[in-house]
Amino acid sequence: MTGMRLGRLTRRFEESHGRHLVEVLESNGIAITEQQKRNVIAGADEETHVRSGLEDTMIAACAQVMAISREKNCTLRDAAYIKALEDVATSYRRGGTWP
Amino acid sequence: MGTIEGSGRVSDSITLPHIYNKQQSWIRDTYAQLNPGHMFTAGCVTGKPVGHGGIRGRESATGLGVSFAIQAVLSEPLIQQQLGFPSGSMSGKTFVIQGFGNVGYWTSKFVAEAGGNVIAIAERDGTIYDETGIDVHALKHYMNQHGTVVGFDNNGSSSCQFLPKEAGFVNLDCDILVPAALENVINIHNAHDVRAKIIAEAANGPITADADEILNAKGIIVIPDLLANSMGVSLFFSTLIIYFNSLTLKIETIELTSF
Repeated sequence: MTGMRLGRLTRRFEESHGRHLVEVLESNGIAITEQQKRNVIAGADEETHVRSGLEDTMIAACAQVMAISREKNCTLRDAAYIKALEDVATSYRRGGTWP
Repeated sequence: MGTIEGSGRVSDSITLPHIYNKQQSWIRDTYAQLNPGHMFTAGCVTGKPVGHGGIRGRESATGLGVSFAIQAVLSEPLIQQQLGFPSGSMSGKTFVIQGFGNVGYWTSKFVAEAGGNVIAIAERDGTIYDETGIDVHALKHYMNQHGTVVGFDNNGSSSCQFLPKEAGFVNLDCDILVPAALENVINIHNAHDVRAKIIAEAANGPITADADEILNAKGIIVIPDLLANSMGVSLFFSTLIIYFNSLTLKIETIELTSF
C-alpha cells in the first residue's frame, strides 16, 4: 500500500460521488454544462494530489516568510533565511544532535 | 545537486537530479542490485522517471511553485499598498520572463493560465516582446522546432517585436520580472535599470548581493530563490515521504548545495 500512487485509493470514489451529485442536480431540473460536469466528476489523480499539497505548502511558506518580514522589518530574503535556520534549529532541539 | 542525509539507519545520501532523470533510474537500479532484499530502493534517489517510481507532476513543479509564490505575495494587502497595485489579482499584471527552459516555460504557462499577461520572454539570442501577450504554447513549439526564438511572430500579432540580446531584458517595464535562467544576471551594472515592482527568483542566485542592496533601496520586492523555486525540491522530498512513511526516518540535516 505504501508504494501506491497518491489518489489511487480515492479517485474512483470521488468520481462516482461527483457523478451522483450531477444526477441529483439534473433530476431536480438544474441544467449543467458539459464543462461543469467534467469539473465536478473529475477525481483527483496523483498529479492533482501533488499539486494541491504543494500549493498548500507554498502558500503556507510564503505567509510565514511574509509574517517574519513584517515582524523583523527585513527583506523577504532575510526572512526566508531566518525561517529556514529556525526550522533547522528546532529540528535539532527536538531530535537531538546524536551522533 | 542536493543531498539529504538520513540518520544512521539509512546511511545512504539521496541524490537530486540536475537535469537528466534516466541517470536516476540507473542509480536506483544499481543500488537495488547491490542491496538485494532492501524493500525501499525506490527511495534512494528522487527525480526518477514516472514509469520507474517517480512522482507525476515533477517537471512542472518548480514553475508551478514560482507561480504560486507570486500569487501568494500579490495577495498580501500590505504589499499591494506598498507597490500601488489596486488588487492582488494576476489578471492585468504584466510579466517578463527570462529563460524558456523547464522552469521558464512552466512558469509562463501557469502565470498565463492564472490570468497574467506575459509580455516578454527573453532567451539566449534575444527577446520576444508583445504587450498584448505572448502565446506561450506556440513559442515553446517554435523553439522545439527551430532551437531559437528568433523569427517567432506570435501568431502574426502586429504588436510583436524582437529585441536583440544586446538590449537585455532587465530594463523592460513590467509588474513582475522572473529571471529563470542563470545566476548573477541582475548585478551592479543593471540593477538601477530595473523597472519591475516584484522580482521572483525562479533561477538560483540571479541577483548579486550588490544588486540586492540597490533593489531594496528602490523598494522593489524580491521573492528569494530559497522560497520561489523551492517547489521542485519539495516535490523531491515528497517522493521520499511516499516510500518512507512506514519507517521512522529521522532527517537530521537538509543540506542543499548547487552544482
